[in-house]
Amino acid sequence: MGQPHPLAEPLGLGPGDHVAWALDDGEYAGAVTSYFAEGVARREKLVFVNGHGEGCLDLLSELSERDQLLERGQLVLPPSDETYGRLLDHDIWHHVEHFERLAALAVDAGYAGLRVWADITPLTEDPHTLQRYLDYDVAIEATFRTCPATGLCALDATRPQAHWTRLASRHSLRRGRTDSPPMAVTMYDSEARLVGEVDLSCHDELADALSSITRTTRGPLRLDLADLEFLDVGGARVLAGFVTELAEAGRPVDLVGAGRLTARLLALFGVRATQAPAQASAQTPAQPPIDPETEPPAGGMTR
Amino acid sequence: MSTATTGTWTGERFAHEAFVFDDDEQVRRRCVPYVQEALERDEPVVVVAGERVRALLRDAFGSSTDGFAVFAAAEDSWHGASGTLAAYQDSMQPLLAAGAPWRLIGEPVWLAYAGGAAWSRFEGVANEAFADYPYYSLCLHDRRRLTPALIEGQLRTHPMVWDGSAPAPNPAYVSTAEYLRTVEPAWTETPGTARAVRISSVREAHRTIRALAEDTVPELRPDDAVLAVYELVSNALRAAGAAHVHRWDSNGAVVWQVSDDGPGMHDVAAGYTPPSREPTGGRGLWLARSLADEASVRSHGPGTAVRLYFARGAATGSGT
Repeated sequence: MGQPHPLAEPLGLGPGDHVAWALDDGEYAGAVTSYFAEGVARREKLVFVNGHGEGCLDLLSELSERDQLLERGQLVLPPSDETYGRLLDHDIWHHVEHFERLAALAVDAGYAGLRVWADITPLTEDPHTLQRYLDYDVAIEATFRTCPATGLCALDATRPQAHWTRLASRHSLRRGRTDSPPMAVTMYDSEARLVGEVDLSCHDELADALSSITRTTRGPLRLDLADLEFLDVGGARVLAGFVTELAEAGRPVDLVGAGRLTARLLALFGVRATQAPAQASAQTPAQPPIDPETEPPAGGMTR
Repeated sequence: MSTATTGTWTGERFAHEAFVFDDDEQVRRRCVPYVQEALERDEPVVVVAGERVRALLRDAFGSSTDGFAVFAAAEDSWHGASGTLAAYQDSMQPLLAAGAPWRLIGEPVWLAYAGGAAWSRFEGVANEAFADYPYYSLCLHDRRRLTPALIEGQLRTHPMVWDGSAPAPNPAYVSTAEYLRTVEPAWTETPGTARAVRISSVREAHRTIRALAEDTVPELRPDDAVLAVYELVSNALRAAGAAHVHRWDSNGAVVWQVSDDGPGMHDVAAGYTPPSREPTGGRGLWLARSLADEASVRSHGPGTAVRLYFARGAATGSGT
């Protein structure tokens, strides 16, 4: 968690990591191969949700023992449009539970966990499916905290920048080919988190990412601002609008961990936030509590 | 019927009187008929005053003071100058919504508190900001408790005084713009040694300002300075597409100047008035003023220049 974290390579990722990745054709095969090779070393079940049809096999031609992996079912290659087209059919949480079941089945089958490379490029053709996926992307974030799963959402870097911006604003871990928003909205357990810096460059992206929270959660909401490093007046206006809209719908929002200036900015719009103790936020960066009972043996970037 | 206690005030607009007194009897003679008249007319009465004035009103009106719209201790009502004006504006909203004229007795005892002298600027700004509010503001000043300089500041910002029998034009009153020019820091030339940057990218604005803040002697509250300057740059980027930022040290303060070439506000009082409750209204300059220790606004060619002053921190301190 914490600040939006730029990555250089799709390596060193493990359970708990949920990454956004923009890449072009020239680097695709190398990146997806490295990602899955690491999964093989970790004894994970590998899922390549791809938009390449027959061509996806070629992308994995350098993956050691590719055909054996396929043969014994450790590697599967479902197409993106079919997989995520189903998102329109049911409630988002139905799909999140489905993902959790897949992770549990992988463990039952003797794997250390589930490793998914999800190419969402085909979804950019249809705004409804893409929106649905982006909502799902926010909702499923917390699942990576509780399941032994690693996820990477890949997007063709040549697609319009707006697609990348929307994807990146829902991931703390990301690698873009172009500018990425300096903030991210994610879920952790049942609470939402806004991390990074909100300035003039990302007000629309913030509103868009928060709208996924509005659609995918129910009832009262807790929004943690402890890792929000900078907020400007325009960002406070967006945040206050989000809080007011939910409150008017009977959904109180508890804003916690706000810095002194963040609380002051929100007060300009009549919104109250609970301030973090003066020193606590500086000395104790927001980290997920580590439970030795459920902690996977080998973690990823987020730990 | 003559209105001896509020002169020609018709109850349609704002009236603003400074009343200076030397003893309790003077303030009783001014305030008791004023409140009595309001009660007879069913006009709401708002009192925010020091302990002695409140005791005096309780003596005169007994438990009726419980029925006043507000009967509050001025000693508990100070939240810094801009915060106090904002709270004051908020407290008037129910009265404004009710649509009938009301009367205020205000005793800004906080003028004598640390930083309280700045309140006179907000009294001046209120003349324009609250011009359409239908209330009479009777502001009390106890010569036994306030210095002559503090009372002079109040007299220069109130259009009316009491002439012994009725409200009268105040000869000491000056326009808000003129008053602000005399009390804000003098607008000297930008020193040639000032660090200067031009910002034209929204993506770079925050990083550039942060880097400039860390460049030399830090402010005592660097995060406040960065946010305040950011908001001015943000306004300039919207108005003109680019902002010129200068930063220099001056007499123990760090001065930031943000200027642009776009059409903007040139009102020296800009940013003193609390922002409207409308979510779309601008808040940047008001926030910048309230974060800074001092601020001033000037025309700058076709555009605007704003200076913010922040107390300096230690050169070798942690700065955080």
